[in-house]
Amino acid sequence: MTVQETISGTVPAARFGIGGPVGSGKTALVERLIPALTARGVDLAVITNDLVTIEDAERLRRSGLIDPDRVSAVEAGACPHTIIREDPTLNIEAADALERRFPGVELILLESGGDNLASTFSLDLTDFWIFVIDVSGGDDIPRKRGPGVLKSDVLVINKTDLAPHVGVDLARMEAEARAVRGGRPVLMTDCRHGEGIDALVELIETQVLFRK
Amino acid sequence: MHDMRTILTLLQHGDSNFPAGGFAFSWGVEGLEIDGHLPRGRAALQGFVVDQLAHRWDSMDRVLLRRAFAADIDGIEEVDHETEALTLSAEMRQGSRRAGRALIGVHARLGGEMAALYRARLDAAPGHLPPAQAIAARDIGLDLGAAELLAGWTLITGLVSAAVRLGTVGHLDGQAVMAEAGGHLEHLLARDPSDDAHAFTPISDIAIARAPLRAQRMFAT
Repeated sequence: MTVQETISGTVPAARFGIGGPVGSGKTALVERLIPALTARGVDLAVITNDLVTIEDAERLRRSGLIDPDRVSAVEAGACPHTIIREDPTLNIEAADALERRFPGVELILLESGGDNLASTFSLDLTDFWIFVIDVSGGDDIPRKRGPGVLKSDVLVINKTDLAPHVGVDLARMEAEARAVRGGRPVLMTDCRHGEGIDALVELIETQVLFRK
Repeated sequence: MHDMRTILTLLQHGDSNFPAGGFAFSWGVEGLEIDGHLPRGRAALQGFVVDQLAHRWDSMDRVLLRRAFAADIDGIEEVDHETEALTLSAEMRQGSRRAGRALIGVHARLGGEMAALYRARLDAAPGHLPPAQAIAARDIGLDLGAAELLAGWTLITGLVSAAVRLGTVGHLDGQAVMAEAGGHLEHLLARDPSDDAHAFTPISDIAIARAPLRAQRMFAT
């Protein structure tokens, strides 16, 4: 039995990382995922890694979407990528603490602080991780082939509704993303209007929680 | 003088890359910088690091580490509770608990037997950093002198690393501060500390205690 398995004496929660640049919509995505997953009976908790404040954690605690005690904030020490990759110990401790406090929790969403295209999650921290970019950041982001874009389990391209307003050819951006990822999943979302969320939830149920 | 095996262990565990969450703790550097008590430059940081070494680490953390190092598992828990009682600021207590628990957690995952045993007590025990450092040192086979050296050195690297990230000093001045502070650490380790654990670092204690009032906060302490 591993250290993690001894925490609550039950099957440990799946740990789901959400990374991506500042302003790409990570918190908005979490706000969409919480009610969608809860509606499907998923017992979940959230950890946020705000860079400078605990604004994201407070935003979720006050959202009314989830019990505020199920939201933990971990300081990033000015290095958001370090806390999810080189030294994720405080995030692991926060996840362990959530599992102790809420026995039976199935899924812990771990939202990274906004970072650059090179950020990736430690394999010892998460079981599955996604990278969120958005169309307003430029349609050349997939072509730049950052490790976040290439190595994530799923690449999410958010704010699709803004494409016509920022001069982005959405079809080309999606095609280039799929090409650089060698066929691995790419999802298009518009968190503001709830578009594309069901596909991600379906994927979490099948590939992370193994429910189907 | 330490043997090669001990030196290699110290290099691994004293490296700022060792994943025990240390980089998220500034131990007052961030608060002092924001409040204007840590001006840019090598001299101010040098003074702060030396003060922390002499008036907190050597007189308190080191004393508690030594007691925990010599104790059985129940005795370590007593030292842990004593650390809780001796640490005035709530923010400092919380920081020490989080840092200690992180250290115990990573050593338990790396196969440390005492860390795993103590981790099971953390619902009742606070998990403060000095006893956690003693547990970690015993699990990796260090003697007391090496354990003290490692604890003092990780304090120095943590403070300087936070200062570099906050822009208080450049990377070269940071190295100069570390070299100078290393000399002070060597001097402190050359003699046994007092038996009475005590600390007097009021300015940094206040800076840490003021953390919840600040809109900007990148570090856990």
